[in-house]
Amino acid sequence: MKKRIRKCMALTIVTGMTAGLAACGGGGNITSSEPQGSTVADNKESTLPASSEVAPASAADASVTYPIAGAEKLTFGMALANEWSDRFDSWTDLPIGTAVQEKTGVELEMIHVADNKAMNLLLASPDLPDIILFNFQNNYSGGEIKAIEDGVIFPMDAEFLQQNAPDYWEVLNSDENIMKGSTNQQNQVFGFTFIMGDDKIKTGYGLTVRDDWCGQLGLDVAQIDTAEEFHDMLSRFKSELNVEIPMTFTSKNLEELLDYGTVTSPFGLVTRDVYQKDGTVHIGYAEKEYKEVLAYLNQLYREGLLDANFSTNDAATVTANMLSGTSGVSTGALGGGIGTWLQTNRDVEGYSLAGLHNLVENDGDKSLYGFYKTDVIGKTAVITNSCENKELAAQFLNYGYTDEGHMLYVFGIEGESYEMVNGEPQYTEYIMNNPDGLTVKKAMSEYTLSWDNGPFVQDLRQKLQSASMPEQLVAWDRWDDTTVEEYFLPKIAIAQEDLSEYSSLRSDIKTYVNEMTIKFVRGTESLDNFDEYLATLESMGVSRLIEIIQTATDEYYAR
Amino acid sequence: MRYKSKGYIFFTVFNYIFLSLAGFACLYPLYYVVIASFSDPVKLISHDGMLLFPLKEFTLDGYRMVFSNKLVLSGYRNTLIVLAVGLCFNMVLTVIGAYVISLRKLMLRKPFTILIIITMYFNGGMIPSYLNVSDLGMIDSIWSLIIPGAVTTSNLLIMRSAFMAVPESLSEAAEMDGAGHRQILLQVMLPLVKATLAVMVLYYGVAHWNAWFNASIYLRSAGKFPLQLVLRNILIEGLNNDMLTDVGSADNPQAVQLLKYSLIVVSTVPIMCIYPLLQKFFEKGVMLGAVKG
Amino acid sequence: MNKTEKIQQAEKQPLRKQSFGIRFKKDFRRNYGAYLLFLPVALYYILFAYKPMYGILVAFKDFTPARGVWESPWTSDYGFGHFISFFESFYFIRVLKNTLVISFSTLLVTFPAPIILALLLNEVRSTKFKRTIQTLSYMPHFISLVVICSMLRLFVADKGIVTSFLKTFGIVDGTYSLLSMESFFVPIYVFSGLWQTVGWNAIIYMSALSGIDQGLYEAARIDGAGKWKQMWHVTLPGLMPTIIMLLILRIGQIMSIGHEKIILLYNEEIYSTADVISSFVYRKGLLEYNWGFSTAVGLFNSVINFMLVLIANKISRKTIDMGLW
Repeated sequence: MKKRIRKCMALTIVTGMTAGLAACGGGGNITSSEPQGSTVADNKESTLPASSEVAPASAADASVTYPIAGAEKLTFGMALANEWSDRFDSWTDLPIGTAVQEKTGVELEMIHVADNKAMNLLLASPDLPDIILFNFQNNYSGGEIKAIEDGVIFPMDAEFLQQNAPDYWEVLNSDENIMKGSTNQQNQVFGFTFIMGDDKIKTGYGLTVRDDWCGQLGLDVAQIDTAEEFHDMLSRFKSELNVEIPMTFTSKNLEELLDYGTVTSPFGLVTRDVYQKDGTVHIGYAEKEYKEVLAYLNQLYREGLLDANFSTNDAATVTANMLSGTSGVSTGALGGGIGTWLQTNRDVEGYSLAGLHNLVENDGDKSLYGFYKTDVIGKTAVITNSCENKELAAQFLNYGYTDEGHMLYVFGIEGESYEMVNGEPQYTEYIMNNPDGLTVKKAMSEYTLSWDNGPFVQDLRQKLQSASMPEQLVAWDRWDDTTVEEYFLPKIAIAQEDLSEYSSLRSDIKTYVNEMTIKFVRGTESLDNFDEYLATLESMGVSRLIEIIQTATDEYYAR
Repeated sequence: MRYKSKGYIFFTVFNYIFLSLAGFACLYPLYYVVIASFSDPVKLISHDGMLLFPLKEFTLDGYRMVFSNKLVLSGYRNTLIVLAVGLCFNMVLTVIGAYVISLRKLMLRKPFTILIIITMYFNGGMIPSYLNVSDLGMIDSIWSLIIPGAVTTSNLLIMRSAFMAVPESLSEAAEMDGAGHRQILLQVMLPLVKATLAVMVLYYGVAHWNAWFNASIYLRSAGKFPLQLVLRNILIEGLNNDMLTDVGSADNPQAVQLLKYSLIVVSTVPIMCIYPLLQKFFEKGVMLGAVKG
Repeated sequence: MNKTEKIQQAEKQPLRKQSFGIRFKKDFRRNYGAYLLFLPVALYYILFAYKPMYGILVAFKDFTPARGVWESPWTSDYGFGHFISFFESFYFIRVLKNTLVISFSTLLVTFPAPIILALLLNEVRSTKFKRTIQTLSYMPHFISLVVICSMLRLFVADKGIVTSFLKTFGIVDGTYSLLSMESFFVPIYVFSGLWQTVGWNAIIYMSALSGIDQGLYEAARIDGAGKWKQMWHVTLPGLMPTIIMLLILRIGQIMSIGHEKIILLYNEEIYSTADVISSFVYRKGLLEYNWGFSTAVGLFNSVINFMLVLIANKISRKTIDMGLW
């Protein structure tokens, strides 16, 4: 945060002291417990005329007043979300959709698609919606940068943003990683990105265990952090409590456990995924240490401590196992895993869950790696080249980064989805304990964008409230006890000429690695063949893959 | 009196037993699903072996979950609409198309036929098809599920064989009497290929009933999704936790299974009730379907 | 050449071969009604089959949706880049092998079964029994694939009914789903396919059986042939044309295993036996958005299939004088 504030200070040269700080509050500084509602916004408005005197000509009109007078209609492409599509036909029918139109003065015409596949097909059509909200990073071959190249996205330069999206521009300038994560190699901004407002939000995934069972066995959950302790706990679940499947998970979960480094640290492996060490890129699955990790998991599997069905399980089965007492350990995110399970079983006598520290080598160590997100992640709202009024689209999307827009996207409508309590926004009963029995996520999806991704800065307070159970908060801290920042790779951009080679190498190798990992863990493939596995990876071009990522990483730091 | 060897009697006994078992094997999986959908899911999971009656406690929870999902009901409605409207298009186009390429005297019959057969093996792929549908303004409309698939080439060829099996002298006689193609088709040919027509209705009907892929591409409003797409989203893509927690699975930890079984019953029973009534038709007509392979 | 010869030739010409235009004009005048009728169908094929066919070009291009098919650049190796990278791919041999293994096993099991079922049903005297069994045997045909696959997944799960059945014979230990075992995928695929199709496919043999001249049986009986001999010398030869025709048609489809059932059943662990060309195409195209590569692999598959059909059709024309055209 300190770094971010410093950046903000630098910015004030342009816009004037007070306005700069206010914007910084709206954009980056979310941990601050100061009320940010109307006072800050008022403050800002009052200082703007003053700032225009000092500011250069281009920044003179760099403010957008909402609602935008005489705004035309914009088309907005977005995928349907399960969270609300069973109750509403269109996003604009939701309270949030109505409110956004009202506040910004922009009438929206929604163009919904069923899923990512359909969005890709929409992107193939010549006539695109003006604005598209989509996770290009994961679901468009080559990401946002390729989409610019392909002529889908209208790339924005500094001047355009200063003119039409001053609040967003300030957020971008508040942190180097945010700026780099939202631009291509030519420093063009590709869209209005989803930004992590606090480092804490970037974490929140790990092992979850039945706390009450540990209590019965006289184990202190807080003390369990080495591979041996974890193993002992699982085997005592099995032998003393007759637990059928001590640890349950899906094959996707297994990937997560390995890629997020949850179980790799005891064996000296940072993560199975890509990481950097002193500026050099490594990929965990091609490292020798990976064998030890697999051997450990295989041992657990052979002893009947892991779910024998993990390769065919779906998430619902895992949930059912955790709820019914078939299993004692699983893995998941703060909201979806431990949160949902506690919530669902809140009336079950004695049922309690706790987060488990990532596995480490020695008691009390920090784990090498953990679940972590880049500063800019997920869905990005982009202006397409089909858009005829790009300025208006930018002004509309800028709204999410203003204080008022921030409150709307994160908390919704005052009096309906949140109330101000002691100057702090608090979600209402409608959200937290819905009278119609909707889950928190579903209820939130009607009033906010913060349950998902979108063009705004995510707020720690949102996460703290939606994960408000004490068990969740403790788990969060435990999972957060890592040195992940040291190894984490920023949001790099693969060079255009390497892109197709990179994506085919990555997908072919990943398929092979996942397949072999499952086989090694289940013992259908002997670990004696690990060297052959490494040799195959080599023949598939893993070195070349690392080389491509290294180049992109070097470019990122040099940019 | 017919001579029957011991061997033949033995064979007959074996035959009856074997066929009974085969019939049972065809029926039982579905029967099991029906029973399972009413059974206590926890008991079901720990039950080994054959199941003939629902395990106690008898439950309707699965069906409660299914019918509390708005999309299942709208899915049903959408499928029925597509089925009804789609069949009209299917039948009209298939019949006239097949009739024309069955006319032996028509000079361009062979080129037409070959051009049609080629489309069975080569198609433009998803993007061009999507753009095409999009150009025609059919995105997010049920027409996108009806028009682009209005003719299935293999069905067209079956229909053609049926027309070709009608003796040419009949249409020639009608032509002598001054009948045009429309009259020949409607008054002479169609009455003679009734069985095949029934098969066509059946084939197209089953295809509409089962289709989900195009819907997932062309439709945008969840309220317009056909039943199978809704089913796929729930059964295969992984039931999201929400649907489960919405109904409070705390007292019913195996609710996933129960929900799946109930969904299968709800989506399959209607067609199970209809097909025996159509049996007479498709048995007659399917011989012509041989070309379909 | 003298005059008479010339005249003779001129007279012969129109008899032998009129120009296409003239012949077509004539034909059109006679059959304009038919051509008119065909118009909507032709329109349908042009609009929905041929118009999108330019998309095949994608197989030869570094395709990006936004540029469109025409504007995208050609791939390396004179446009054959995608094909070459498929042939050189780590997975080429595997998906090809799996496609052939699954296809041939399916053929081997599901092809004779309906014949046997039809023969057995044919020996049943009680009409009521016969009808009941027949009706039951069609049932699986009317269950949608999505439903069949989710039923299968439930049945072969660790505590599913199939698994516990196999467990009683000691074939598996019943601790995990059969779908997580490489060696079980093909049997599951094939036998569920048998279940789905056997009754339905038997219909055609049933009608072929009813078409066999009863006089032949009479004659065989008079010659003293027992039931077995009758089946061997009368029934089977009577079915032969149908069997051969269907077999040839099936061979024409050897390479075309649809992706739907595969992707509804498989999982990463058993790719080594379950991943076929069409599922590979599906993943590359629809999950990884590698349209060009995916189209190229699909085209490769289509071309082979088309060739197989041409060959099969030729053979069937020559042998039993039946075919698609």
